[in-house]
Amino acid sequence: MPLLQFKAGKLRRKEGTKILQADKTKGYVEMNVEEDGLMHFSWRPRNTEVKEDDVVVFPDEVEFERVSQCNTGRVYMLKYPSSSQCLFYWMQERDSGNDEAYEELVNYHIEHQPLSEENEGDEPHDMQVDEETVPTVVSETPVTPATAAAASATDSAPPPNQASSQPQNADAIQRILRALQSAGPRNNVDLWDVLKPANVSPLLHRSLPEALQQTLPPNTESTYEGVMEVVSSPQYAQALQSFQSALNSQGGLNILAALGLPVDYTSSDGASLQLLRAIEKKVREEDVNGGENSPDGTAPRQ
Amino acid sequence: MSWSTLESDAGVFTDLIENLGVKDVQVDELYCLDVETLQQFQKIYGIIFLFKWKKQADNFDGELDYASLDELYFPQQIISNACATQALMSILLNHTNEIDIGNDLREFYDFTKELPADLKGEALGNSELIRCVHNSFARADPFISDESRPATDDDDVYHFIAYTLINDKLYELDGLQPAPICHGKCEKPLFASRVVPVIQSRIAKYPPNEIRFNLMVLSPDRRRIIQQDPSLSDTEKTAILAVEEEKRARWKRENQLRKHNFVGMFLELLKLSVKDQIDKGTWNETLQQRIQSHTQNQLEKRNA
Repeated sequence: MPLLQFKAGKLRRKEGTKILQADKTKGYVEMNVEEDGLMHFSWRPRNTEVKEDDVVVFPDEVEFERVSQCNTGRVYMLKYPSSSQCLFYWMQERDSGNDEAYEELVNYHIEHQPLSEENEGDEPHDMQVDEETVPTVVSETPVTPATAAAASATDSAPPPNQASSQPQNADAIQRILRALQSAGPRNNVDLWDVLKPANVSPLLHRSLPEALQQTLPPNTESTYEGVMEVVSSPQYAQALQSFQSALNSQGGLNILAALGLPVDYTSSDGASLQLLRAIEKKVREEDVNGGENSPDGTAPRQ
Repeated sequence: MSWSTLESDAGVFTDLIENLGVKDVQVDELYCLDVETLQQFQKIYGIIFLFKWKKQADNFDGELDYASLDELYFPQQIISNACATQALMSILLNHTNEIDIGNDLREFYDFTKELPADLKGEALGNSELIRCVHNSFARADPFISDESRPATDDDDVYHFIAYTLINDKLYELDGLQPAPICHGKCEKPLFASRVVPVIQSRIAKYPPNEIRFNLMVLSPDRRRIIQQDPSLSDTEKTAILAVEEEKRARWKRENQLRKHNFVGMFLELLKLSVKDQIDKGTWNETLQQRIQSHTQNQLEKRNA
């Protein structure tokens, strides 16, 4: 039984626009401590156990707040103040009187992490179970994370309760807070993993793709050795670190947009991960459209 | 009109001053601060000392020498990111008799030499030529980072100071001070033995575990000196020259890579990687592994 569960639906960004649209799918927002010992915030459709959103939440890193711009007033967001990403949900519980309580409970569970074995979870609240009608498109004016954030700037979440009856909890909280880096949602990848010399080496066949050749620094041989010389250089590593830093910082998703790649500000995927997925999409499309872009210029794969 | 931060690298500095028109001067990193190592340089124009600078008032050795403002070239530092180039200028422009600084810098020198220290500094900050050459060595970073935020006490702000002999006196030229600091009379042959303890004393003012220092020496182009050295045989000359040329080639390559915008290459390599995994049917599995390992790393950082 999860620590917290309430009926909620998702809102998704309509592709290519800044408008959030409510998805009719009936779902649950849940919070629970998973096998990794961490507090997870998740959303799933009610007819399956498979979670569509599943993020680890740390205190002071994320907040759950009402979106005041919404006309029906029951839209909430899981907000990461230090990045431009938000996850949006609408309340599906019949009785809106409990919305605020749920909001507080979500924030409570975020702030009160299970840090010692003696910590006990809270009983989930049982609520009345009736259907709520689907809200209309959230508002006339497009809601962007920026405007939503601005609108709710004055609705600050209750301050984290760091005082604890157990001294080791307070210590642990302090440790975590001190070590916290401002980051977005949990799901992300490290591009160095993908692009480090050891992992690039097997990708380079005897003849390099034209597209890659065009991106090489001047005076670089268009050979395996030439490319590996570049990929093994400290300047390459530094440039990659800098690129990844920029991607995963505030406004980093805009870089993807500037590169002409699809971006989803309402996704729980970090920027590096979204980059990979965007490239996956491109690669699959090019595959379907013909083999001109395959590495060694051979016919398309079946 | 902004100045980028530069990597503290001898190859960067050597190329930078060459691009400004300076002839036959090279910058080398000094890995050992001792008299013997310095004495291996037949001639030293000056030493640049890079260190971490705290924002409290420094207590320094030597004396502020306001009178010397009329005798030597001392620009005050106006722009923080320009301090590497500032330090280089402080040395070069005090040895205009010995160094061919080229037409552009000669013009700059003539135009600014009578100005007070703060206006010298402003002129340097406003110099289109110097700023452009300086910035051309910054990493090709297409993303504007938050460089303009002011330094706080917690920031590691690196600072450059130049040490050089002018009129037989050992001077410390620190653009954040109101005047040059004089460490007393010093004849040319004694420069190495005098400057080492001065710098060591400076290092001693920092916590012992503070090891982030860089030392750079400005000296004449070694290749020339080797050619003209009567005490070396031809074979010896060839060997030393080969080493020197190899170093120069390496520097040149590093600067090329520094200036290169890698984003295009990253995207093409990512495409190859993704394609490869899709072909092998390992895409989903590998992606999940990567996501998990990222979460794991984040956790470890938090629990550290």
